[in-house]
Amino acid sequence: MSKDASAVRDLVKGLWDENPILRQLLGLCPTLAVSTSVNNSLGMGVAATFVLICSSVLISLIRGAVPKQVRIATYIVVIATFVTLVDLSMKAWFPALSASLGAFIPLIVVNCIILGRAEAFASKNGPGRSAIDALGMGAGFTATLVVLGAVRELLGAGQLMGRTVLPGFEPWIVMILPAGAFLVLGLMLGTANAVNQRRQESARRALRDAWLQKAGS
Amino acid sequence: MKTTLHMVVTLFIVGLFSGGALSLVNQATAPRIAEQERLAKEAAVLQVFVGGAKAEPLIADRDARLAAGADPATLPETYRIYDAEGRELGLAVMGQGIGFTDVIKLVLGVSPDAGEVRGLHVIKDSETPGLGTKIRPGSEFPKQFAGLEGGGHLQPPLKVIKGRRSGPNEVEAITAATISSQAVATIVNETVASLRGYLAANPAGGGI
Repeated sequence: MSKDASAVRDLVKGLWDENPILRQLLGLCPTLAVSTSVNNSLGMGVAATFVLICSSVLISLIRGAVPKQVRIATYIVVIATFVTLVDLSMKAWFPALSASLGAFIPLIVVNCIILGRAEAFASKNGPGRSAIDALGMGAGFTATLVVLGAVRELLGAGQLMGRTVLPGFEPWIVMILPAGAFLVLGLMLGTANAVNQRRQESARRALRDAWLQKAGS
Repeated sequence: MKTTLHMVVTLFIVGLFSGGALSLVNQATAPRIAEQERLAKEAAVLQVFVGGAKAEPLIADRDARLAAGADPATLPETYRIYDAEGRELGLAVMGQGIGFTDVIKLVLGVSPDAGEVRGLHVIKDSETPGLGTKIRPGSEFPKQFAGLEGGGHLQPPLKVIKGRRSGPNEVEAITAATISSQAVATIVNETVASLRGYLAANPAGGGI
């Protein structure tokens, strides 16, 4: 049972408990830059997840052979290679997506989430667990980006996925600009912190009640 | 010493595999990428005119003259555009210049004498998402270049104004993206000036 349970934990921890954006505050640069619309968020999330899974698996496979002094350099080369592969493939087969993500794909190289998972997880665990961890983190990254992108696109353009959903709505241009990204991300981080605080408090209260009951009896 | 050797060998092998993988993928994708770029350019050249079906280079020996050292500004990359019945619709000319953050590349459709603008199609830009990107096809801004409300066409040299236009040489700026609007107008003006210069020097228009 413990193996299955830990695999599930590896997968779901990226969605909330260790969400790369909301809890670890990693990869904020691409997060703020590309989340102007749902489509851009999805494209960036999927591309980053693909690079994250490939590089995590490969780094996990070679983790025994890489001397620790040059591990960061090795990770960066591996990550940069996968990013270039994604970039070239997108240009060749999905030119429209490539045109809209343009300058952001090469930024995945310096996305801290990928280097962070390589250093914190893939370099210490087997390829299977690393792939599951990468998938979970990628899903958490993508989901957070999509929520951020949806709020910004809705308020900044009155649209969702390029379709007008708020006809006659005067768009708040600031939401499309960097300032809007900071505002929405700040509110999301605050909400996530509030939810976690409430959870911790109720867990503490449950523990205390249980202890009091035991003491009383 | 042993550690140093281990480090060097590791980095060497990683670099070797990375370089090999990249060169393989580059070989596999390079023709497709070139083809996609050619298709995008061809589609853009035809799309600046409604009903554009066939494009023919205006300056047939342009590449040879550029290779011989001619100034590109005197030889604009221009195509004659015909509809499906073979009627000439006008000229499509490639233009580029600096936008808000990076180079903007566009195709401009003009009348055969380069007197009026008939269409505008931005091929490549890195403008601010949601603001400067409104210079792209499908937005309101490029529609001015296809034809003015109430008839007529824009006549370069163009001037960017905020608010409503009062003459055929005025372009209405995109709200909150004046620099991108101005950049497009400047590219249009330079491109048209270059094309008019060429047409004046080669009255037959063909230049062959």
